[in-house]
Amino acid sequence: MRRVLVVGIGSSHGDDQTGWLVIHQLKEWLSPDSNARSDRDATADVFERFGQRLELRQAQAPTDLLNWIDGQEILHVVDACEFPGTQEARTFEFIPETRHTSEASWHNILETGRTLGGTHGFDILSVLDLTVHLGTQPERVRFWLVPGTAFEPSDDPSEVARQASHETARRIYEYLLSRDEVRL
Amino acid sequence: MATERTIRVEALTRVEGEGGLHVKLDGNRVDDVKLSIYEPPRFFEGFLRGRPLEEVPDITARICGICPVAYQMTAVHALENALGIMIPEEVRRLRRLLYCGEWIESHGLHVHLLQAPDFFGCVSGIELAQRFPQEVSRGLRLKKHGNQLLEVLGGRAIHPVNVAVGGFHRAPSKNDLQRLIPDFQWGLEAAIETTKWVASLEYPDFLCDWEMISLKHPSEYPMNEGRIVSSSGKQIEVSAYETEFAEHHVAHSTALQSLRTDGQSSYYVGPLARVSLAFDQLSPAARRTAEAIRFEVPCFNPFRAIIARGLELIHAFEEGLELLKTYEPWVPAKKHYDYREEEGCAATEAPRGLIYHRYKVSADGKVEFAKIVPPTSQNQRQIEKDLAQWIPKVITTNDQQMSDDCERLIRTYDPCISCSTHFLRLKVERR
Repeated sequence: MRRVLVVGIGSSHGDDQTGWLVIHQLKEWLSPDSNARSDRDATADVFERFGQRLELRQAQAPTDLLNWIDGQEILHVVDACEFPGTQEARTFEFIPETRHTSEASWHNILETGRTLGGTHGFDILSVLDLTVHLGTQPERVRFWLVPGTAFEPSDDPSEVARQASHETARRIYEYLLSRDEVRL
Repeated sequence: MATERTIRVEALTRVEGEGGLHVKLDGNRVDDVKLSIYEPPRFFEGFLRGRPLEEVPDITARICGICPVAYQMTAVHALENALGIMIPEEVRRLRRLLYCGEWIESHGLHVHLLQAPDFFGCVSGIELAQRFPQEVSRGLRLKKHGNQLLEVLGGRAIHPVNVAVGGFHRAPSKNDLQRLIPDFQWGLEAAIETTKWVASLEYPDFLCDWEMISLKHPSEYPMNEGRIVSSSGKQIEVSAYETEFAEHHVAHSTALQSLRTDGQSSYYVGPLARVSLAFDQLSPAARRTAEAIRFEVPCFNPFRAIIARGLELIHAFEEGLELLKTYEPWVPAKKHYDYREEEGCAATEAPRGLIYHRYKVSADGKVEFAKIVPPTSQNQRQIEKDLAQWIPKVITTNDQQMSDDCERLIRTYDPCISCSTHFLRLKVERR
């Protein structure tokens, strides 16, 4: 059974919660008619659906992925981003071993680390590089970047971010359902 | 002829948050060192005013993604002090277990991915992983087991929500905790190996003139309570913290700097202070390992803080294992309390050092005043003083090399800039 890890990265700062909101929404859609169970961490949501083992996680920093990445074949990363002038989430694929991206325009953005933040100098790309050196990297990573505009500490997410989160969750759900056959 | 020189580290790497360093040199003499913190202040103390005291543990946990437990623990202890709540032994033990998880997670990351690369000339943990994959993999697994414990006790991976004033919202099941025992048995042995590995590294010959400060408890290694002790021999109650230590604004930093009220001197908090001041209370395996690697206390070499973190990793796994094995759920998970108009304070030991909170609460259970002093604020001035002592030892015409050497020292303190604004970019001015 293929192992898929879906991680929403976020913080409690306004629209930065979108990664967490997407995971929350996916849990709701996957729970009612699935064989939901907790793994040994007692807090992970693991579902056996669509012929896949789906693990849903909320993270505060990219380094959190290091706790869960071993043995995962496909990784979905959901994170909030600032995109001037658009309210639509963006998605693209990334191969950790070759650093190939499905959209060339994203390569430079990832390399500069401007879009996806982290802690202790570890952004998502550094974490994925580390997994390559340790031999624990997933075959493929699909990024889902949800637009946000307000990131004030302890604020609630904006209505726009909530809608974008819901829409992103729907697209990820369809993607998981299709077992990657949907090309976005 | 003397030349003025300015070196700037615009962005410190492998630390939490954003800060910079500005060094002014006159020839080989250090004129000035300023540790600047750029992160905007986050006004958490202001957010807390007027909020029900029950919300404090969850709000303070959001100050830091790395050490939420330290904020929660200190907050609940301070509020319980204000309300006169005496917590049962079961709660004390489970809170120590929670703190063990945070020390494991934080020290595991710092030892393997943040400080260890400096001993091998590696620019990052990624480069270290290329050369030492086995050691880095071991470190990540250690960290993972700390996180697993936090998830079980805290209720979730992000911002633990299970900690409450008076106890916990829910006592975890015996089964959920006992499933972690095999991992902690592995972790204890792995932490010993890690500590022996870091003890074998080559350390700079550099001793600081510190006053070390930490908590000390009569019968247990300092974690969530005790008296405040100093390497000078002085001891005070936590309630006297603000008469002995005071925060000051400095123009170059958005974080306050803590100094001794008596003489305005700086001081040092953190694992090296704890290990030096409470060595006899380390767990048996940690003490045996310290003896085997000939680690002597008190230790005033900041670079050796990595060994202190290793010893505390051993301690946290050993104490954690004992607490896991003997855990029994209890009811009620949270003690009943009544509101009263009062003030209370507490200090606990965050992975990076002593943390202090004080709250004033109203008769209807609202927060009227909050004061939060994180470890990085307390170490900030000491870091500047230690840099002024370190720079002459590493002075060179190569600004990049000097920047790297300065960052190397700063990382030994494991500063958490996000907490202190509540950190690093180096600028050197040479004359």
